[in-house]
Amino acid sequence: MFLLFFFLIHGYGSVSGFVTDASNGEKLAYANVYLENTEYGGATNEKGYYIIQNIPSGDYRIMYSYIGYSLKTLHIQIQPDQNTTMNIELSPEVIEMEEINVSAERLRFEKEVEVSHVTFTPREIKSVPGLFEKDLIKTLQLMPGIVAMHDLSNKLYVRGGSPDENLVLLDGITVYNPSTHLFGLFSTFDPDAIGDAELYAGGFPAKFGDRLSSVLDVATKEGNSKKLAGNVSIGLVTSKLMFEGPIPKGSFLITGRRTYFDALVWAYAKITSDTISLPYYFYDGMAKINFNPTFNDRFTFAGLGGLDIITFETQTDTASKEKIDLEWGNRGTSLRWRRVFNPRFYGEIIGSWSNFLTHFRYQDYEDPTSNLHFYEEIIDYTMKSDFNYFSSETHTTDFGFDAKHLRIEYNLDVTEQRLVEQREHTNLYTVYLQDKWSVIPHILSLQAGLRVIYSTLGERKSVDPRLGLKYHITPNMAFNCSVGKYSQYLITINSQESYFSIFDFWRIIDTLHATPTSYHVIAGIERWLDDNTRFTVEPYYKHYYNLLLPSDNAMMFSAPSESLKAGEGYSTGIDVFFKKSFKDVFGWVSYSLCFTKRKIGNQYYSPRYDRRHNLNIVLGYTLPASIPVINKSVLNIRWYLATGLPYAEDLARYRYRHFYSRNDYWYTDYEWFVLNGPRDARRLPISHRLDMHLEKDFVLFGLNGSWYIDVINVYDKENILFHTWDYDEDPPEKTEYTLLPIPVPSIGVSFKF
Amino acid sequence: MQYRIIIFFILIFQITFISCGYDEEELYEPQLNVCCFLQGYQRPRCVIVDRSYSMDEPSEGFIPDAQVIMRGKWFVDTFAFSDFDGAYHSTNPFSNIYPESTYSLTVFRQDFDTVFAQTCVPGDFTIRFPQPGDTVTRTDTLVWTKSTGARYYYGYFVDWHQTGYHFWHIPDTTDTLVRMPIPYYLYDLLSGHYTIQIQAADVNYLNYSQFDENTDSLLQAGVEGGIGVFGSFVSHDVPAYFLTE
Repeated sequence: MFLLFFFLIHGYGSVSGFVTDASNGEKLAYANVYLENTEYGGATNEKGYYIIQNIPSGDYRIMYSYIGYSLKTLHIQIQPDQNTTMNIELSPEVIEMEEINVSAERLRFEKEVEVSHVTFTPREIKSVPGLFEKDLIKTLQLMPGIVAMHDLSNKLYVRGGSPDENLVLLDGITVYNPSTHLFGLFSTFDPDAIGDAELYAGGFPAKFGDRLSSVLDVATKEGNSKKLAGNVSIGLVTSKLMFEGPIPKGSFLITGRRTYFDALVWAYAKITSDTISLPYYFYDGMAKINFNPTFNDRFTFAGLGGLDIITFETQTDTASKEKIDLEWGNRGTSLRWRRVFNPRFYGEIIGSWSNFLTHFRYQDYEDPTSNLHFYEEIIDYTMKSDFNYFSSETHTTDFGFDAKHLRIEYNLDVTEQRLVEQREHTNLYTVYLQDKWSVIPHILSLQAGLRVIYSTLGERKSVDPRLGLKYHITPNMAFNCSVGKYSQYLITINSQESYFSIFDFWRIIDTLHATPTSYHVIAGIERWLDDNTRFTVEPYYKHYYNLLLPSDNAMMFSAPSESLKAGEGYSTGIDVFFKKSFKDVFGWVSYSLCFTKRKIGNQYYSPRYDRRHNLNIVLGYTLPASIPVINKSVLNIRWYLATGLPYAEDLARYRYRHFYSRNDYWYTDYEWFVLNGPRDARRLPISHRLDMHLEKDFVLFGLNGSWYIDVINVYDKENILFHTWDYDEDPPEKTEYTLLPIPVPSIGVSFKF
Repeated sequence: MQYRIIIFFILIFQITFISCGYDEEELYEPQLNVCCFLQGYQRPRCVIVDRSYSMDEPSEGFIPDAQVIMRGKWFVDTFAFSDFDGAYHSTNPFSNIYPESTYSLTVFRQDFDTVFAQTCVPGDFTIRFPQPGDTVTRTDTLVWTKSTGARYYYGYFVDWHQTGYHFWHIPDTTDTLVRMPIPYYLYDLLSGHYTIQIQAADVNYLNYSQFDENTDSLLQAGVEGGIGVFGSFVSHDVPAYFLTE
């Protein structure tokens, strides 16, 4: 009776809104929001949105806090059966950025039911030493469970999965070939434009699908909604420009990047009257426009585009003889409408177009019969919706619908005659539903989801259940568990085991083959030793069915192959991650133990990306003010130690004698044949490497700037990539090849305005 | 707790460093490499005994101290090594090879696995066309009776320089005659007198001659315990005149 009376006289209300950065309008994910001297509180989600429900009506003081930002306290009156909207801007304080991220990760630890998840800030991405250029993918390769094939590799092999099993999203646009620049050495993502990046190394939620291994979700910055700002960077290989600023009821951001080695070589040739030229360059750019017509609506237009171009022409004294043009690149746009329908119901609808094209033309001006023209592209039209319904304090329901039209076209013309003209297309329709249930608040949470996919090609469907659990053993330690099924309707037909691949050739799974699926089982412990120290241990097991595997012949460069072999496989291992941040020092240690096998027929083998052990140490240190010249600069070092990769070794040689049965002199004529071992016969030697990055801020003519020096392979470790045998020698002579035979320095400078 | 984590990572580091440097297990032990072809109605030809070599081993010549024994239905023949040609030769004057008979070969050498090999000589056959002295043109079809057990037929147009123009044919399995149009790849054959030689080969011969080191695995054409070939064939020839149109 007392409770009934209490309810009747009070009534309940709620408060909701967005928390953003007052300096530039960027969202603040996982900021703390709570009512002073009460138990009512919460945190913003990854979009910076929060809602606190079932607050008894009355007057309160609401507090917003985020490490690195000043605390904001406001008076609020909660009315019965009403929601109060409070969109808040927090002002940054002078505190290192990495601490902010640690804090966000800590809040995420308390709020979310997820495993194998890491987030990155631009500062972290830039702090990792890079070869000529900072790169998101290079930073991700330092996370547990992720390995790189070699010193220059820019592909992600996540927990024994190949790169084509990773879903890569940029502002909602699916990026099919994220690491295409400079023959796979640079990724599409410009670190200056990245707002944040999230990686699910496994056990990803029902919101994501269509890939077997992992999800990389990259969001560009929102664009500064307060003032015009920009950044110019000049490096050894590329120069970049970023410009951002406010527009009426919104903001914009635009970036551009181009290599200029070709221009420098051209200028040098002009000056010296030399004939040398560099027939390669790439450029890319991103753009984003935010428009907020009302408090509850936001429209975001995002676009990306880039192209790698090789143009090579041979000339006689008087005229061109032959010409080769090769172009490839990613393009895409998305339009996102985010709406707060009511304080409990929040959602967004995204329409996107993504395209990757490959274009090769060979023209022989003297003999047109040799002309060749190859054109391939993948086109993806997607309409996607994601909704969040905060049904109660203990339940949050996510659901959405996804319609995707995929089209792959490839043509081959020889001597202006069309030899191949192929068109593949399918429509994929997906619905998902996911509920996060706080069974025992702050102690036990469950997340159950279901993703159903229907493909019009072959009229096949997949039902992919997902289940996650988080149990807080103590407030600072939790047990995480996740199981799920994952399906993929696209594959690549080029070998993912090759050391270098400029781009992937995607194909839709045809009706003759079953849909590739994988099952993830992950269980781990996450422990926070203090607010800035995270420690995780995650064993996992992943099993694959219905894989389509290209042959192992392509070791160096991957080439498309239509003769795929059906197979299955598994990967299992344990990932350990320790991340720590002090005032002047931050860093992490990641260790992965992984066993990866694929099976064709009855034969198991280790694919070439099966690294057994992988240890990474990253350390950042702000040098003290007492050091001359480089005082207060940031020194980052990165060191790794890893097992060598498996490879097919020549085991022995023997004489093969040519037999001519019409005479008796057959045995004198022979040649040496080689006995090839299995594709995983041997492993390359252990590899390790130390890289350094030193960056210092300065002010020049009133402009804030910074310069950096990177040194890759500081102590000149020659990590062997492959070797060859010279069979003309007896015994055969072995020659080893490395990618970084010397320490490689690079420098750069950037200005902010 | 932090000390425990530091100790934990030091342990991981040590384990990683130790584990990263694999002790490579020996994946291959060198084997004997034996080559021998038998021809029907002939005495056994020589047996070549060689070996395979690990990648870091310098190669040697022939192996002179192996024990080589050939067995037929009516004979056992211990072969003897000849320094002259580096091959093993028959020592039993009663060793003869007959069609549709099975022969085995055992090669023993210390420090190597013993090689055991077996071949069944294909059955005899008769050339129906051309007959001796016939004229053959590009549009003609060679005809011979099928050889029992033959998996493949090799043939040559041998000119007066003893230059052989090679051709081959896989027989169909339903007819009792093998018919083979003059192959198009003999388009450059000039008019003249030739000896047309046709050989019916067993499966070991076929597997050996078509072996591809890049795609096939171990070369074992009728051989166990080692590598190599123990094949057999039956051969007939006929003189004919080839006329280009």
